[in-house]
Amino acid sequence: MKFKARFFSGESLEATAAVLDLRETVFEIRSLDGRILFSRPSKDACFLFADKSGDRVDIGVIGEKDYRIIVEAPEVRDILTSFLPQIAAAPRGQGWGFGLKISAGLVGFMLLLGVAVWQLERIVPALIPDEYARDMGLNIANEYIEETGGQCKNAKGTAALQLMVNRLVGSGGGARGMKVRDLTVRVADSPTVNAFAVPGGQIVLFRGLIKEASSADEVAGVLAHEIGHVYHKHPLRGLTRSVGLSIITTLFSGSNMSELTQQLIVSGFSRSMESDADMEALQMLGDANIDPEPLAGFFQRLAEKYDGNLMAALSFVSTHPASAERAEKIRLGKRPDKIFSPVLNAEQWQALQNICPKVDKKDADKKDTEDEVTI
Amino acid sequence: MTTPSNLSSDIASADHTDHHHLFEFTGEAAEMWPIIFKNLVFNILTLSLYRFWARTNVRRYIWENTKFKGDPLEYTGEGGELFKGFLIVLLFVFLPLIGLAVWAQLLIAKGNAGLGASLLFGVYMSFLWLVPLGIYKAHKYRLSRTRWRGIRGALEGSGTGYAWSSFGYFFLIGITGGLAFPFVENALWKKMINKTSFGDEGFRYDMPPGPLYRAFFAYLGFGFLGFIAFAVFGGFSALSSGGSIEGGAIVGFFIGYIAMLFSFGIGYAFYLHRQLIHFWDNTHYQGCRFSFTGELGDMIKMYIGNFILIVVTLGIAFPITQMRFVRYVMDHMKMVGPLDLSVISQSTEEEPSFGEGLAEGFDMGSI
Repeated sequence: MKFKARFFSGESLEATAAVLDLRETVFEIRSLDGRILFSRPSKDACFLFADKSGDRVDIGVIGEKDYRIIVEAPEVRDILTSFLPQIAAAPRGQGWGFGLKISAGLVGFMLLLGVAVWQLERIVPALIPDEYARDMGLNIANEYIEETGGQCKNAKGTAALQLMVNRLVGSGGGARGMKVRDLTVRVADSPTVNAFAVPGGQIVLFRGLIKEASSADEVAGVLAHEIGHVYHKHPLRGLTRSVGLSIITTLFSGSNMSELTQQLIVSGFSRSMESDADMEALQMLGDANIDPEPLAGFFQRLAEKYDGNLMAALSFVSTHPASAERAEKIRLGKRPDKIFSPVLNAEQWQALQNICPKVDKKDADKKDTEDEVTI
Repeated sequence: MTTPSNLSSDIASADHTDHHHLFEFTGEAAEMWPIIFKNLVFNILTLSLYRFWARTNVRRYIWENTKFKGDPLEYTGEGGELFKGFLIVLLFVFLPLIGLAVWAQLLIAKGNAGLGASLLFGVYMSFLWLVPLGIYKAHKYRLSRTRWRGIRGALEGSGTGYAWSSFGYFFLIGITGGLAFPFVENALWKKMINKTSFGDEGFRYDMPPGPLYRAFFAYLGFGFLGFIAFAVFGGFSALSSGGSIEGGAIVGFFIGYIAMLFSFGIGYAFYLHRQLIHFWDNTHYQGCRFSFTGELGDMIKMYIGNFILIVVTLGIAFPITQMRFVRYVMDHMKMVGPLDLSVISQSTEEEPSFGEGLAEGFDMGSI
């Protein structure tokens, strides 16, 4: 079957007037005087795109990127399709099927990336030298303390705090192999009920936490929890994860990377990290003969305050296990064989409570303690 | 189907291009929406990673509906090429830069603020070079994937020269308080156009920025008037309410502010319109030059329409706005002078094998 055609071979932008000779196995382009310009098996033909007026067909030639055959005869489409049922009906990428295939591939790709970041979270912290982590942590902690109201210290209070650290770590159990000198525990003059650990064994307790605590053992429980984070290198792992996730987010959203670095310091811990730290704290308290019940009580109070609260559920419980559950686990893990003794005597506890000099901000405190609690 | 006997006489009049306009755009929103919808579905499924294929689908539609002498442009790029380009740039440019930025942050956290800050500064400075490089490379990719009658476009060179010029111009604009803007725009257009070719024939542009300055000062004048109006209006409302910024004064302030933005916007549109004409009317291809006859009013209508579309659809209609822009340009583009298509053959420029990673990374994947 012959059709008049315009033929382009990449040698000119002006069409060569030609005849398309379409047969079942072969298609040929001939000049008007009958010379064969090219001849190919029909399976090398492909549709370039569907013209919406429907009265022209654009044919390309596989293997000849520059060739274009334009036929003003819509029936050519049907004829070619009858010769080559597998010829693409629409250009690649336009159909739903192709999109679905690509999407499936991309989802697989994302899963791989997720696994990669999850692995990095374990590998990277081990690669960062202790000394480097210590310097970095010290500066981050200093900045936090400065921003939140400065460091609280007086001779008696600091001594009491050190006593607590010694009892928890010095007993040799719990956080196995950890040394007292690996830890720096300080108190920040902030009314928030909070405590945190950053890389390099830097732990900061907030004044609000000590003030709200019912006993020294409760403070010791929270402190043990933070030491648990340090023992498992959670701060560095959290940092790695946060940076890794930011990179993936960049990949997905295509947004620029300027916000990325800001995330560096703000890195939360995952639920499993919190559970690990709780279990480590339980072990540590047991080894040091400190009653874990006050820690359970602390979580219980959090639970009463937050667990039923939708807003809190969104912001707080999402990264922390439910407080009631945590309290329950601590109580279950309490070792019946131990004879507990208070971590501090009354005088030392009094000293720790008075480590921050200012007590004239009662009203402000009352308001501030409503803040988030995120140990 | 035709019988061989009457075939040759038919073909003698086969160059049926005469009755077509030179440039034509036949895209329609009603046909774009299904493409947008499909892209949206897959983008959601893949947390937006499908965007490279989505963009390719949109381009293919816009290209195929852009016609010159009755024949459509053809977009031969593929989503996979854009994805590959993005991954390569992510791995070899962005990850190292992110690494440097993280390291700088750690240095600052460690207390070595001087070194950390200068490192961070260096990282941000490199953006000033990488962004124009990305723009250039994206153009290069798109031109190499644009064919008409089987022949493709090209952009010569790697773009590093363009990137260094842009880097320098950034500071020039800063030093001159913005007055160098038309000069810079003109110089960059010149650099880009003179490296652009279609087939084996290059485009040429060699115009000084002089004539642009009249439009630029008019734009500044517009803006200044708006500012005066704002100051007077805002000041008056503040005074009338006894100097306190409350109630009516806020409304007055707000109206004045909107008026100022509006006059700046109109002024800028005026300048952009003049610039478009200046650039195209002096761009030559072979024996002819382009001529752009679009009206300012139509341009403003197009931009306002696009703005409303973006706001109302939360950006989903972006491809429609691209189409509206292309339609505005194509409806008013002409070529003046003799054009001999018969002597133009395939480009000898090498085709890049992947595309646009840099531009994508900086979120400037325009069209």
